[in-house]
Amino acid sequence: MKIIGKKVKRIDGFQKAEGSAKYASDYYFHNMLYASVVYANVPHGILKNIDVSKAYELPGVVYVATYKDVPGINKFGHVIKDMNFLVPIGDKVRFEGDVIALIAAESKEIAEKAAKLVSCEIEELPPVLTIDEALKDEIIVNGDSNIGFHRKIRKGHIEDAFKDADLVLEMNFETGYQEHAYLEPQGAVAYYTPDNVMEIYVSAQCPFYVHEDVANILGLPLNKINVIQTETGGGFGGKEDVPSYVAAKPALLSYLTKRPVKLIYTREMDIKETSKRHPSKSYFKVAFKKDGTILGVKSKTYLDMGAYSTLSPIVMYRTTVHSCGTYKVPHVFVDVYGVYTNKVPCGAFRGFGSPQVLFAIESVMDEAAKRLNIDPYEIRLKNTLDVGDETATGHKLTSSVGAKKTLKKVYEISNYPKLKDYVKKYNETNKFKKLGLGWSHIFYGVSLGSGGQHLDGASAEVLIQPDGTINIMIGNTEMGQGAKTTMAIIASEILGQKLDKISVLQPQTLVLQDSGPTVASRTTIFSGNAVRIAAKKIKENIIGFLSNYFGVGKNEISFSDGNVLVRDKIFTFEEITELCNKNNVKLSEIGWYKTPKLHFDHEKGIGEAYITYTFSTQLSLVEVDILTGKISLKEAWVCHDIGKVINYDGAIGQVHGGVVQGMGYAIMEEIKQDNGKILTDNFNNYIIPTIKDAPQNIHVEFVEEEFSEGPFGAKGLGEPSLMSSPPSIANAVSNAINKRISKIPISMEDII
Amino acid sequence: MIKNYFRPKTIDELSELKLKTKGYLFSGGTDLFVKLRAGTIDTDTVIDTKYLNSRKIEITGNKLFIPINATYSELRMFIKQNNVNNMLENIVKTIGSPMIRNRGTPVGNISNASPAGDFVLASYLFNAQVIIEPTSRKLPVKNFIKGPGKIDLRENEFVYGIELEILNDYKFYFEKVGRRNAMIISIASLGLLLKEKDNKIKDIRIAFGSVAPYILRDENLEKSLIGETINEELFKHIAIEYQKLSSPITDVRATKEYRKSLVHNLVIKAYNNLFEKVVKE
Repeated sequence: MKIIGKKVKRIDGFQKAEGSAKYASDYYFHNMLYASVVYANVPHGILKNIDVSKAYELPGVVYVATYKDVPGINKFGHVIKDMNFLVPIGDKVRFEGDVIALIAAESKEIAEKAAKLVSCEIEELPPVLTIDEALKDEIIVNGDSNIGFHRKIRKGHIEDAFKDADLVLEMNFETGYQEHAYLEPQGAVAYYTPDNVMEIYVSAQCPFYVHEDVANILGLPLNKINVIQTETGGGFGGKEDVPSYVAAKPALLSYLTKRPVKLIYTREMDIKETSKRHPSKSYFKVAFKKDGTILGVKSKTYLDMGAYSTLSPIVMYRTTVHSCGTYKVPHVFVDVYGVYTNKVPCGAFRGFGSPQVLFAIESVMDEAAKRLNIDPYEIRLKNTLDVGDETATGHKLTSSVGAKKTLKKVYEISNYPKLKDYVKKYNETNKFKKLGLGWSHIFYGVSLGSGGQHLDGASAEVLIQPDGTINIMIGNTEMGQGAKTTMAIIASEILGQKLDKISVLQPQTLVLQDSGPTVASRTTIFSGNAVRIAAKKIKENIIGFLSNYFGVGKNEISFSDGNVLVRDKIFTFEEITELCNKNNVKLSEIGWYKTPKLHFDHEKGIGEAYITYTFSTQLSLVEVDILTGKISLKEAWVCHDIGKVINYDGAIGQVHGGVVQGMGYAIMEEIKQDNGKILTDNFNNYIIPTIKDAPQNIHVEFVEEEFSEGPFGAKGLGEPSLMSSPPSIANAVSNAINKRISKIPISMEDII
Repeated sequence: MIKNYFRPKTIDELSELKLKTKGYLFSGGTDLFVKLRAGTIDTDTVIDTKYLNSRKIEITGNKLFIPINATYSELRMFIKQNNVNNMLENIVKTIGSPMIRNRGTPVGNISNASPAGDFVLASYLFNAQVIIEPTSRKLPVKNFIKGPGKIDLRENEFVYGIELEILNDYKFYFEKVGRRNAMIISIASLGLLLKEKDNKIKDIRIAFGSVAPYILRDENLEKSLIGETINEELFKHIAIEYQKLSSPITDVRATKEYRKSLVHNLVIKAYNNLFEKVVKE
C-alpha cells in the first residue's frame, strides 16, 4: 500500500484550525432575514388558539408562520408520520419542544422578541413522563397505544437453556439520555431564489433526508431543491434526521417571504427540541454452564422514544440484533419495545440503540464470571464469535471475524495478569481510593443492513482537472470524523496523485444521486467504494489512452507519488493529465456502490442482519474515590477489528473520541427534567468530559481481518469506537467498589 | 442589548457613572456576559473598569493586595514569582478553564457573592478585607457578603480591591467536588488551613463552599480546636460538627443529602491527605 493506513495530514485540517471553514452560521446573503421559533413549552395538551397579532405589531417582523402557511404535508416521520411540523389548532402538543409558530424578522433580536409576543392557548393534559407510566396505557401520548413498536428475535427454545443451566442470572438495567453535544449547534440558511429553486445550506449528516423532507413540507419537486451541506461541526447521529426539522423552518419562511432566511439554534433550543440517545429499561435472564458457556438469553428492553417515533423503529432494529452481544447464543428470546412519553423525541446517537443493551449483556457476562469464578477475559474468549459461528440472529459468519484477536491483543498490550496484581495490591493498601478493571467485548453490524437496505447505495464523482488537481464529491458527509481525508487517501492510492492535490467538496443534492445517510459507520465502505470505483474508471481511461499514445502495454503503466511511469519514462501526474485533457480523455467518472442483498426474517428476527461486523475489546482502569464518589478513568486499552485501516490518524482519533464520549455517557452526562422540561439545557449543568477528564493514556490497536466487499478490506469504526467504552467503564467501577452497577450514568451519589 | 459603553479612568468618574447610569461593571465579563445572554441581567449599559488607573497586585506588609481587573492568571503568576500564599494556587487553578482565568477576576467573584464561588472561599480562609471606593471603606469579606448574590455596597460604590493575609507554615488542603475536572461549579468544596505545633493545633481555618447560602466558616468552632491533639478522632469530631452546621439545598447539580455526606467526608479526606498519607495521589 502506498498511502492506505499511513499517517497523513488531514486535508481539511488547516481551514478548520484557522477558522476559514464555513459552517452554517458563516453564511450571509443580501437582504437576509432571521428566524425564531415559538415553542409550546408544555409537555402535553391540546392547542386551542394561536394569537400572532402582537408579534406582527413589532416593527421589523416580516412574517409569522403557523400550520396554515404550510403548502405541503405538515408532517415528519421516518417510518410513520406521527409528528407535526407546526402544531395545528385542535391537535395535541406532545412535548415542550413542539413548534407552534415561526417568525422571520429583519434582525435576530427582533425575531426573538417577536417570538415572546406570540401567545397560544393550550389546554393542558397530564403528561406521561416515565416508561413505567407509559406502559400502563392510561394516558395515550401518540397513536393508539404508548407501546408504538415491537421487535423480537426467536431462536431455539429458551426454556431448554434455563433447564440445562448451571447458573441463571436475572438482572435489571437502566440507562439515561445522552445529548450529542456537537460543537456546532443545529442551523440552516434557506434561500428561495428568484428562479424558484430552494437552496438550503445546512449543518447536516444526511442532506438527502433534508431534500426529501423539505420537498414534502413545501410541496416542491425534488429538482427544485438544492441541499448543500455546510461544514458540519459534529453530528454523532444528532444531525441525521433532525436537520430536516431545522431546515424546514427557514425554508418555509423563505418560501413565504422570497428572501433568504437564517436560523441558527442556541444551545438551549438545541438541547430542548432535538433528539437524544434513548433512555432504556432492560430485564435480562441469561443461562450459563459451569464452564461459562452461554446457553440462552432472554431479554426485554424498553426504549423511551419520547413524543414521536422519528427514527426509533430503526434504532430498535439495532437494539434487537445487539442484545446478545458478540457471543454464540443457541437459544434467544429477545423483545424490544419502543414507548411513547411526553418528552423530547429520541433518535440516532453513535451506537444507535446498541449501547443500552451492550451495557446490560456485558454486565451480565462480568457477573457470571464472578459467580463461576472465571476471569472476565476468559468468559468472553470462551463465548465470542469466530469464523463459522452464528450470531444471535443466526447469521453464519464466513470471514472477517477478528473478535478473538481483539481480546488477545488487549490482554497482551495491557499486560493483564500484572495489571490485575497491581490493582489488587493497591486496593489492599488504600482505604479511600479503589482501583477497578473492566472488560467489554462488543460487535457492531456495519451500515444499515436488513433494517434499511433500500438506502444502502452511494455515489461519488471524481474529476481530474487538466492541471492534475482532483475534485471529489461524495454523497456522504464530512462532519468532523475525517471522511474527506479517507476519501482522498483512497483516490490517491489508486490514481497516485499526492494527497494535497485532492479536494473533497461539500455535497449538493442537485448534483449527486441519493447516497443514503452518513450514519451507521457506513461512509468508508459506501462512499469509499464509490470513490474507488470512479477513480479506477478514470485510471482505466488514462491507461487506455497512454497505452495507445506511447505504444506500450497497459501493464507497463503505473501511478505513484505524484508521478506516472510509462515503461521507463517518468512523467509528473500533471503532465499526464494535461496530455489527456488535450486528447479528450474522459477524466471524470461517477462511481456507484451498493451492497449484496441480505436475507432476513423480520417476524422472527432471524437472518443476515448486516453485511459485516466490527469487533472490539476494551479494558478500562478506573479509580473511585470512596469518600466523594468521584470516578476517574485512568487508562484504557482498546482494540478494534475494522478490516483495514485506511486513515490511520483518523482511526486513532475516532477511538480516542469514542472512549471519552462513552465515558461521558457512563459517568457524567445526565439530562435532568422537571415535569417534562429539560433543566440541563447548557453545558454548565449538562456535564460532558473536558480534556482534563480524559485519561492520560488510551492505548489503541487495530486488527485487520479484511472484509472482501470493503474498500481495501475496510469495515466501519465510527460507532464501535464509542460502544466499547460504557460497559467497560461500568464493569471497572463495579470491580472497584465490589458492587454491581446496574444504572448509567453512574451517579457519584450512588457510590458513597 | 448593550447601547451604552463607558471607560472611566478615575475612581470618581467610575463612581459617578455607576450612580448615574445604574450600569453594570465589566472587567473580564466571564460572569456578566453569561448572565446577559441568559437574561438574568437586563441592562443597556456597561461600565468597563479595565481602563481605571489602579494599583497592581502587590505585597504590603503582611498583606497581599489584589486590585480590581487583576485576573486569576495574573494572580497565579504573581504568587508563583513572589513565593507568597502558594496555597492559593490550588484554588485558583481549579477555576473555569485557562481562557476563563485569563479574563475572570477575583474581585468579580467576590462581588458576585455566590456560595459556590471558589475565590470567595479563598477570601474567607485568608481573612480578606474588601476595599471599597470612593468611600475608602474597608470591611471583612464575611461582613461584605450578606447572602447569595447580596453584598454591602452603595449605589456609588464599587470594590476597588481585596487584601488577603499572608500566611506561612500552614498545612493546606483544598478540594472541589464536581463531576468533572475543569469548567465546573462545585457541588461542595472544602478549604482547610492548619498550623501545628508538637502535633497540636496552633491555628485552624475551615471553610466550605456550596453547602450553605454563604461560605460556611465557624470561627468559634475553630477556636475551640486550638490546642487539641491532631488525630483521626478529632477530625471525625470536626466532620460531624460541620455536618450539623451545613444547610445545603438540592439543585440541578446534586441533592442536599449528598452534599451533607460530602461535608463530613471532605474533612476526613483532608485529615488523611495531610496526616495519614493513606491516600496515595
